[in-house]
Amino acid sequence: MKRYVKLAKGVTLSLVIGMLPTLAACSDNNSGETNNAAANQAANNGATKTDVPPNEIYKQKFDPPITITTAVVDDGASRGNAFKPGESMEDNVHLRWMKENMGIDIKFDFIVTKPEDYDTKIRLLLSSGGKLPDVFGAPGDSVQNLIDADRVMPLNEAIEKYAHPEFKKILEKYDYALGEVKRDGKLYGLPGFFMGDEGTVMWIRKDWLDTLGLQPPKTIAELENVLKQFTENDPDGNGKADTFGLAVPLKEGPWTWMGQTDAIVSAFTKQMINTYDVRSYWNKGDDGKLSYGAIHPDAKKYLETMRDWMSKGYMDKEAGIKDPMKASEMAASGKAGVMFGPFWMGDWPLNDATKLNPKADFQPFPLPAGPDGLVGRAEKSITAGFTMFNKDFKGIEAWFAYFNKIFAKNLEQEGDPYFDPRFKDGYHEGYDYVNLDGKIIKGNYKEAGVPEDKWPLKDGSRMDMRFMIANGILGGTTTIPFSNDEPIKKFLADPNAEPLTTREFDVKQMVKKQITAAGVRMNQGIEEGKNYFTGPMTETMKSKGELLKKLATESYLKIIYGEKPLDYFDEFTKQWLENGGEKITEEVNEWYSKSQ
Amino acid sequence: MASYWRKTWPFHLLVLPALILCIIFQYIPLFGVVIAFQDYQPWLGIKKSAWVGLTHFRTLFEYPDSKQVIWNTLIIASFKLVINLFVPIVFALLLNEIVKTYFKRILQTLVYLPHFLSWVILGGIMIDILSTDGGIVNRVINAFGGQSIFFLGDGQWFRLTVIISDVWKEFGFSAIIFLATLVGINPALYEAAEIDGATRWQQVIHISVPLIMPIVIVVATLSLGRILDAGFDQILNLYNPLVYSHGDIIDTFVYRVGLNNGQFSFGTAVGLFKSVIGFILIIISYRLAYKLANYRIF
Repeated sequence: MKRYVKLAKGVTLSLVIGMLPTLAACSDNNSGETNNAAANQAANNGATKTDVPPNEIYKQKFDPPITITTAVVDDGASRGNAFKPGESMEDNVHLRWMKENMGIDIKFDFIVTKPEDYDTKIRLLLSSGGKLPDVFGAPGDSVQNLIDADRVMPLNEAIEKYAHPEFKKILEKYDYALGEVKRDGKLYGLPGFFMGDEGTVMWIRKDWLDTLGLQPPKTIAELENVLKQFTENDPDGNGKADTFGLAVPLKEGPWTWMGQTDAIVSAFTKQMINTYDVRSYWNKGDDGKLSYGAIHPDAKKYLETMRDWMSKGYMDKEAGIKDPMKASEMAASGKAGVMFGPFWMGDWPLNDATKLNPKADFQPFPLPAGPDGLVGRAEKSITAGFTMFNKDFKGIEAWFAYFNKIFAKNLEQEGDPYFDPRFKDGYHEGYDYVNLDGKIIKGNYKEAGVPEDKWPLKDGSRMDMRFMIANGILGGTTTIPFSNDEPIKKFLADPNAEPLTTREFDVKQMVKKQITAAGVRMNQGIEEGKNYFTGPMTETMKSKGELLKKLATESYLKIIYGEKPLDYFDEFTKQWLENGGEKITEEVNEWYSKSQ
Repeated sequence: MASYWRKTWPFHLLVLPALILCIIFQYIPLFGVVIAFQDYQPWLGIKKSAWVGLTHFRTLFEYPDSKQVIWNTLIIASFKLVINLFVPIVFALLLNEIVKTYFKRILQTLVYLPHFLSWVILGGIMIDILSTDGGIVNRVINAFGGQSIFFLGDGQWFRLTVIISDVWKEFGFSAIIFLATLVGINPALYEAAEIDGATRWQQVIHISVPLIMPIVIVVATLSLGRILDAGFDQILNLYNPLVYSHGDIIDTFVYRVGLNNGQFSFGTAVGLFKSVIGFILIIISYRLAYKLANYRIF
């Protein structure tokens, strides 16, 4: 016993001693952070900018430098060629450039590897009352909390004073999509935009059409015939009845990100339908009121068609258990000949079909018209998230100086005083472009004859500048909606045209089918069906939304699968309204009338 | 008493860090369950959020789907519980009878490997092998002249699929604890039985089974506490709107309602409800084990 006591004493003592450095480290850390924050504060308060003439506003430089803190997700793997070896998110050519030429010093409060961790961090800072970064991309589910908690800055004044005039126009144009960050007429977040060009086109196996001697379908009736022939007439000629018409994921209802059936819905009605989210689609009626698309009686026509196709085997029998990825496998594996979806499907996943059969040829076609001549599609949400500003942030002028510069660069407009001529050829020489005896080369360095020691990266590939440029402070995206349209027109007219701008260069990188498909989308000139509700989730949506989503998706599937008669739709509508739908409709319209 | 402390204080000191950690990370967070009775808003925190009493519990039982969801959970979980207890025991007993060590090792490794695969991966694989359109299982059924079965799209079949696939995935791993107990049985008992002329079968029935009974009771009792856990990640990866009526369980329901919609209080309320039921069941089974088998776990 005695011996053990001695041993125990020894262990305890060494444990305590062992822990001392840890304790010390903890306290060190704390004091360090406080000092830093205090220093930042001082710097921000004393900042002034050098005055520049309005036609050279790009020259704006802040002296003493302004520090902007931010935060970002960077997993190091998925960003590909974002940095040169030895450079990183925290230390790279662009940050040094900003510090030197603009007097803006970017500091990262935290860099995490996973989006979930980022969301958690922000949520923790929010609930613990810790200091939020000066500028940060707001996690979707925290947007409302951040505004409610009064921790973020209203931006109307700053936009009015500092924003690029073209950006103001864009904000006005897409004002309807900003409901989430509007409160009492004030805007609390700046939107990041999607390109907006993901509208549905119809992809069909052209080689199957040719084998069976069919024309591309222009109406739903013709499409039905194509589906029938694809199902029954052995288009792949292997002598087995192992093909069907339409590859479609119905696990998430009619609307999703790939394989969606919004085009079939729109052939029968002007109503847009999504059963998988109670926040969309809210359609505007003739009386100016909003109503939920999935319970509109017109949906019956869509359901009737889908039910008919399902019972005849024209579409995937397992559609109900498949998500978009699983559904696309049916098309890629040569089982299905038709699938709806965005323009980019021409590369992945549909081009995978050529791996099995080199002759497989999915081609994009315009959407088919319904019996009354209706053609349409739904508009995908245009906002990709919001950038928010700490209420105590003092350097918003500096932020806009930077934002405008990048925005002007993306816009590439002639005579724009915000456009920085130093970025004329690209951002940084030796990174996104190489100057070879006065010729600017932005890619394919080997073919262009650039000597190997001047390649930005050792393997000769292009660098992806987006991460360096957007880092945390632009919320991860600098996209201008539909800015790919002009380049696409250019390359449709002349596939071999020389790309001049960054946008054109990106478009040139797309595979031919994607460009063709984007052209098909643009040329059909459809006014896309909008979701008019973009506000925060209402009270009843929060408590009953999930229930209604389940009810709607389940009812739709049961009708399509023939487990319930078509008339069950009326029963479903009644249940939907009774179980909170009516209340939600009221709340949505109340929001809508206020937001106008 | 004083001399007891004087002699043993270093031991108590050694336990202290573990005790402190336990209190900080296990007991203090327990107070967080008060948000089940509040309308919790993250930026207000626990102190300032409004008190709403039992509203969330009422909501749980007022949802039209709740009854069905609880019922689904009970059915799936109790089948899993029973089968997941018996299959590993039988498997462990059979494996214990194998004389060739290498064969035994290979077999054991093979059956517990699926335990380490995540349901995200297995979910995708199962959709493929259970497909009605060329999936291997349905091809076998067709070969024997049967009709293709839509395993993941038909409610009754869905439950069966979920239960069997879970047993397949876990039985090898669960058998480890029984195997360890079997290995620990004193060989002298078997030798004595053999001398008395007992057959292998009799040895299993009269020696192996009675000696692993205590551990079986422990495992069964502990698993009863999870009667409301029907396998969240499995179902989340396999279910779809077609089988909501038979496959939606409390956890997936709370996941959709609570986390996707940011209803923290409601999620906590359901979690608390589950814990209370689990706690009551553990107490009952503990008493039963003591009464019937004269066995105390704690």
